[in-house]
Amino acid sequence: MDSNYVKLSNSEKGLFYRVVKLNDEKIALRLTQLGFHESSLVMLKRKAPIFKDPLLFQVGESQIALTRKEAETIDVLEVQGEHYHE
Amino acid sequence: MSNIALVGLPNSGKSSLFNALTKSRQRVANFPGITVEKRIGSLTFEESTFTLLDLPGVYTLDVSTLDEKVTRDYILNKSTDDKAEVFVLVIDSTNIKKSLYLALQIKDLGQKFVLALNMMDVAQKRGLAIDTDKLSAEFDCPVIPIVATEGKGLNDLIKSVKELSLTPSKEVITEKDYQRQIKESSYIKSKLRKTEEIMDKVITSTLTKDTFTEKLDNFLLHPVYGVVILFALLLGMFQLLFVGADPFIGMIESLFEFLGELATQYIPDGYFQSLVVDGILAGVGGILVFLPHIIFLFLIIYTLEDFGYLGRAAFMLDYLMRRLGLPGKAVVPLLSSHACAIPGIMSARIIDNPTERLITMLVSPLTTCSARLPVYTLIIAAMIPNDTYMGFGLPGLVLFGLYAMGIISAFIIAFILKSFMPNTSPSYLMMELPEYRKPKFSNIIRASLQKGMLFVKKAGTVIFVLSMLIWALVTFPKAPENASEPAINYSYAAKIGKTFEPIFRPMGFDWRITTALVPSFGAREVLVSSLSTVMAVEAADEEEAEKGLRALIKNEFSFAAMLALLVWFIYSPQCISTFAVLRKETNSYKMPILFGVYTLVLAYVMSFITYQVFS
Ligand SMILES: Nc1nc2c(ncn2[C@@H]2O[C@H](COP(=O)(O)OP(=O)(O)O)[C@@H](O)[C@H]2O)c(=O)[nH]1
Repeated sequence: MDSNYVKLSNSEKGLFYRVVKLNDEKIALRLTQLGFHESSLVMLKRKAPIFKDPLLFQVGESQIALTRKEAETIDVLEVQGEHYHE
Repeated sequence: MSNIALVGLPNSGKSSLFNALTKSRQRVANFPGITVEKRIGSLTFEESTFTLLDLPGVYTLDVSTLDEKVTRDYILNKSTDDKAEVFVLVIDSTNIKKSLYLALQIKDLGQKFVLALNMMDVAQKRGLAIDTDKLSAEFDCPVIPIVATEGKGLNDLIKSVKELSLTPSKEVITEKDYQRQIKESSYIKSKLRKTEEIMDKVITSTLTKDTFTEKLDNFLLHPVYGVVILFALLLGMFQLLFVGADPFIGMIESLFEFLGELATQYIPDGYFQSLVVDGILAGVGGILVFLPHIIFLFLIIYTLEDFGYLGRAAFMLDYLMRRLGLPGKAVVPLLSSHACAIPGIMSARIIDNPTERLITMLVSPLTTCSARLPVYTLIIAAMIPNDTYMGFGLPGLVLFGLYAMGIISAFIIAFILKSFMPNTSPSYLMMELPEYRKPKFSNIIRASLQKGMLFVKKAGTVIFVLSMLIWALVTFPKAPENASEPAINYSYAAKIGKTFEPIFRPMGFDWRITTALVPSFGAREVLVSSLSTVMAVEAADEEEAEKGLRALIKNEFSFAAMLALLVWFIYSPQCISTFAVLRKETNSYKMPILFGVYTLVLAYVMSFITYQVFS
């Protein structure tokens, strides 16, 4: 496996990542429906106050909240050169 | 008459469209056998009448929840109800891509449908341009831009629906074929690819960023301000429930008191008078007093939901609540139950996971509702010395302790229930936080009133029947002519009280308490007046009666027994309305029975321990 893969839960705020793989069958369907499917572009936008969990992601036009545990099931690859500007 | 069904993703504006099309010609029911709400309305257009059905929101037809299954079965023509002639797929134009998957699926199935491009006002403001002709060609269906909240484009929409309803129906594929389709390994991928292709063709100018939501989130989800605002809001919600609903409850109570007086005046003394005043009027009044709480709570919930805040509150509370075993959204039912468990249980609907929703409903009544307060204050005033302890007044500390025990017990029981109940669907947060939108108050008010009416219709009968039963228990049989004791002491209630006395003796209750407990199942606060009646407190007014009762309690009962009674009231299986609403919300007798059994055991064991420790 490519060592550049990271878990979405460990992604850096404001950087774009491409979804590589959904590892948990049980929640893969819902994640797909929410926009996390192979090759979709995602970005960590915010962390919940105090506990830094759940996490809020930008996916397409939507903002999706996932718990850290849910985000851990998603492998992503950083997309070089694309940054998010506020 | 043709049927039209509305489908769409959550938050696409389906309910808004439904309201705009049907106005007040709508009703709420349940889908057969399950507790998913079914909203049906009717509308007339150029002399044709249509029945409109609002289906639960879905992302795609590959379902994971009960609500979604309703929608899928309906689209697959599996529903036993009248089939829909035409489907209106409501699309949030600012997030069109996400809806295309569902549109493709519906098209594949062979249903006739119209695409309603909703939220065009926002889309246009943000510079989006959609080539509707191309979109229409792609799906081979009419495409109508609308603004549901302003009623724009609705005429065009209905017109095309009507035209479509007159065309011959196509063959809808069977569920088996559908299942086969989606099992193909490339199914999802090819659908996703297709949506990309369509997007490339139909979007001629892309959306600019939603800076309003961005800015507001910077504030409302801020690590410090966000939390402060959240707690201020929760506190405000609680205050509004507690204080705001009070005058309305007072009004309803006064009205029924007045009606009672009127009836007493015009109906001669006797059973019939008692039946009307203490039975019927008290029963109906006892149902209607819940309305202010229910309506207020749902006004708050719907406003926060419509605005887009509810999901954000869940986002911020999720971590903490999950450590305690429940999802973030459970805060709303648990907090509201501190005013009254009835609206609290009803609000548990906002919890998506069915098992967690059930558990929340089962434990919410353990929190200290306002009906317990009169009982708590009576006993505390009678039994707890007015000392200070580490700077705090002892009575206040005890009251605080009772509140704390309620909520802590709720979490503990939730934890225990969780290990017993099979979780049918994965417990997840995974949710979309919608953009902030201006709440539409006419819809919010209508929906809240509907909640209230639904409660009266669905739970009212049960509450009424049970409260009549309680009335009969305390009224019959009649006291003998030369009775020396209060009439209630000759009634079935007293017989029940005396029969059960031995069972309750280990917690220090005598038959007077057990008798007074019987009517308290109607409403907890009734214990105060029923204890007065049983103990034959004579007084000119209520205030004096309470004073007299306090003195009597102090003289007649032990400290330990009264502590045990306080503890009993934390856990006791009450009240009948709680049972009725549990029955309504779960659509089964299993849950109210489970609730009754576990609270009874808990109440018994806990007050037993309390008495044994303190005596
Ligand atoms: N600006 C605007 N807001 C809309 C429109 N339609 C719905 N809304 C708002 O979008 C939110 C979600 O709408 P709702 O009808 O509850 O969506 P549902 O979940 O699909 O039933 C609410 O705040 C509505 O007031 C529209 O055409 N324009």
